[in-house]
Amino acid sequence: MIKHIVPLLLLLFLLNNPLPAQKSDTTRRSLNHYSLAIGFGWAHYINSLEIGKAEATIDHPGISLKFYWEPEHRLSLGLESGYYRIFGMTREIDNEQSGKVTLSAIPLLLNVRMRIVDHFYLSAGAGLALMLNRVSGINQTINSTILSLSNYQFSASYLYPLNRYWIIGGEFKFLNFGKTDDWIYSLQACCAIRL
Amino acid sequence: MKTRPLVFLLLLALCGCNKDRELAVPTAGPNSLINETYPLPAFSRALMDGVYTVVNGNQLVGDQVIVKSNRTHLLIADATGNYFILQAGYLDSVVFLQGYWRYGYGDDTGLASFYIARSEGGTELVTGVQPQTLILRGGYGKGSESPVSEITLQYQRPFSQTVRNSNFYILAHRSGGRTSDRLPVSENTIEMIGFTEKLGSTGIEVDVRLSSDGIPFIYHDPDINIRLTQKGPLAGPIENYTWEQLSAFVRLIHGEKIPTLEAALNYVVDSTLLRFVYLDMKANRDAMAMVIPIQQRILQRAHDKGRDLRVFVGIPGTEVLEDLMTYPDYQLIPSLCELSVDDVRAVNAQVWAPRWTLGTQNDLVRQMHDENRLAVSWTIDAAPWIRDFINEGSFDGLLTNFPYVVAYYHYTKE
Amino acid sequence: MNQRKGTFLLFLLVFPALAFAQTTTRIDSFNIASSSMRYPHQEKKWDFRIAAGLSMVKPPADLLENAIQAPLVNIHMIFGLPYRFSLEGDLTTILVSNQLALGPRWGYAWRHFSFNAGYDLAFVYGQMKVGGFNNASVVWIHYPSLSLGYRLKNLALTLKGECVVVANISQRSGENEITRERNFFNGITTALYIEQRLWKDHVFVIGLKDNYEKFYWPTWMLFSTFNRFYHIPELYFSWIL
Repeated sequence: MIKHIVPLLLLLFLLNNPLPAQKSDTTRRSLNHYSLAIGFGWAHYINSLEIGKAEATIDHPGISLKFYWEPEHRLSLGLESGYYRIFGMTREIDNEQSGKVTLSAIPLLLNVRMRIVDHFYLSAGAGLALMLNRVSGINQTINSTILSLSNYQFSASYLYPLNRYWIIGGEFKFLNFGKTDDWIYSLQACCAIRL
Repeated sequence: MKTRPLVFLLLLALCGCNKDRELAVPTAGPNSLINETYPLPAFSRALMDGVYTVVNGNQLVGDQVIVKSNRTHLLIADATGNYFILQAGYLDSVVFLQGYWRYGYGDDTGLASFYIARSEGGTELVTGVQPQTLILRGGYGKGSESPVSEITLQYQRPFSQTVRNSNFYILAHRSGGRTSDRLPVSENTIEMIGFTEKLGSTGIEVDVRLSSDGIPFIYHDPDINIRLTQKGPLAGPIENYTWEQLSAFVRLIHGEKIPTLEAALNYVVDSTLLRFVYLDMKANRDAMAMVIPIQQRILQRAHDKGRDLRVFVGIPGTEVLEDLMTYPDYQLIPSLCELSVDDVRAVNAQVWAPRWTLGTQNDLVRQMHDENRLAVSWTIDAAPWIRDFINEGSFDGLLTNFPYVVAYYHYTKE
Repeated sequence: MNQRKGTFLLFLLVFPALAFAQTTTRIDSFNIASSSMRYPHQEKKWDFRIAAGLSMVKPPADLLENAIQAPLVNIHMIFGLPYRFSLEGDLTTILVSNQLALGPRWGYAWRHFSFNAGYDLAFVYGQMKVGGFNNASVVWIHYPSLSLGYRLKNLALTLKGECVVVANISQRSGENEITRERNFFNGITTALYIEQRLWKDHVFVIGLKDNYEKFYWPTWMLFSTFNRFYHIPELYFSWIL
């Protein structure tokens, strides 16, 4: 009898300890995670040039890179960068020469994104951008890098999770570069991975 | 998408709400009466110079104004920043004045017109005789509305002997005013140099920069930006570009080309009566070797034409001071120094130009006068301060974005 | 027989230990109204809460002669009082220019709607060395305000309008008083705030504000003489601590 009692008592002791009382919790079990997304697509410059408007090419590829912290509710915070060719232009100066100019931008924005309904998100962001201006022809090539301190983005995106880690979708966004007061909009296909 | 324009407008509202860089100048149109008159000669317009009492129209211009003729027009200015720019003509011994008024510190503007009846000074003015009585009767309006609000100005007295004997310089900043002052022409342009005398200026300050191939030109900011230029393909530091590139790709906001320094100064000599030019050396690199020869040529041309014109190379900081001191015979170069009076003496500058926030500094100004130097203060814009500097200070000139306010306080001085 | 009984008894003693505690249903007791700060609501008496954030502001290019966006650091505080009153304080700083605003609110809620009326008195102090001289600015501003709130399940929307009346501006450069102006209407501000949870029960505030003003306190050091109203947009992010 004693041979049975002691092991049973030991078993009783061991089993009781790992059983915690269930805590009531007002939050969902944490779904905190991070995601890294890349987008690629078409970017269109809303041509507001006053010089060389007709000569500007305004449709180029655009690429974006986003890193988000996605807590368990609707809001996410993130950083966005990318590369956009705003416009290109070849302008005749006289019969003998012409100049070629391009303006590109690398934004660095702090974003807030909100899930509106399932899979549909709206986002807004503000931050810095590096503007890259290149002029060639007319005897010389000149590269200028300008820091733009006033830049914004507003976007709407549809993101569909393929599985626990991979997400695909599309995004439509407006970007404003304050230094040159230029607007572009971009339609991109996105692919994200949950980290 | 119907919502896209609305969204875009909302975004534009967030990101760029203050797009009004221009303020339209009201005009009476090609059929206005002034086009049917004979232009009033300059000597007749000069007879109108004086201090006037405002009989009607005090709600706009207070109790007193000055009328001052210039090379092409008449300026009427009050104490608070309101001014009129008027063309003058005559028909049958009646003098007609037509143009517009503007509140310089804001955006209020409108049409304005006056007439001077035969018996109220018109006949004398047309015949070139100082009138015994001189009354300007007219009206002003808002925007392009007809000038129906009554205004009547009665000649009170001429400018005092002190004022007529003084050689006070009313210096216009950036050749006339800033882009943000919403004048009809861009800052630092030949067009502005042609306009500035209408505002009461007798001298100008211009900002000098250097293209990458060494051509001095006038432009304030270090970079090509949407504040000063029409949106074009170039961006970044303006001194990165050659003169040819700037000429091809850059236009200022009212469509003007950036002028070279030499072209701007030649225009001052040939087409204006301006008497003082301050070259504010903004160039990133040593520019004296390029600028001083231009200064010398212009001074020679002005002398040959009998023009009363002084052109000073400006010294805004120690780097420019050191650059000037490397120039041969630098003490003979007409210069204007913004630094201390000791620095003024070190380079033998002809003008000392302290910042206005240091006060009237009457003792130091007196010292400069004793050494046969001039003293001007910059850049003073608030009307109460302009009044105090003129009434209590001893400066030989004030640099301002509101030359008509300086004109009012200077010309009303007893 | 006794051995079997003893074993059975022990089994009865042990067996309950194997019965896991009942999993309770998750209860989300979060209340956006009481967790928010901008949404007008009856703050818990004597309760003190604080939020920290950033405002991204784009001052007019006329003043700065450039397109610049400046971050203003913001601390917002609320202290609950009886009878639907509360006291709100706001500290906003860009180091060379600082505003502290303090004032009471009185609010009322009805179903998903609520409103409050408030008044703040703000003190602005700025100091900056320019051209070798110490420049300083002291400003007093009145901000009467009205806020209207609407509450969804986990989200609160607030529309706030403020009147801006400058009581006194005194600005000095070195020894000289450059500006002294008193008692003028300086414009209005309109703001929309969205408050919701970001992480666990911590609420995040996103705001969009338009300052339609002549004198904008963070730009005092420009000594602007313009007599013009400007729209100055502001994007606001804040975390309720």
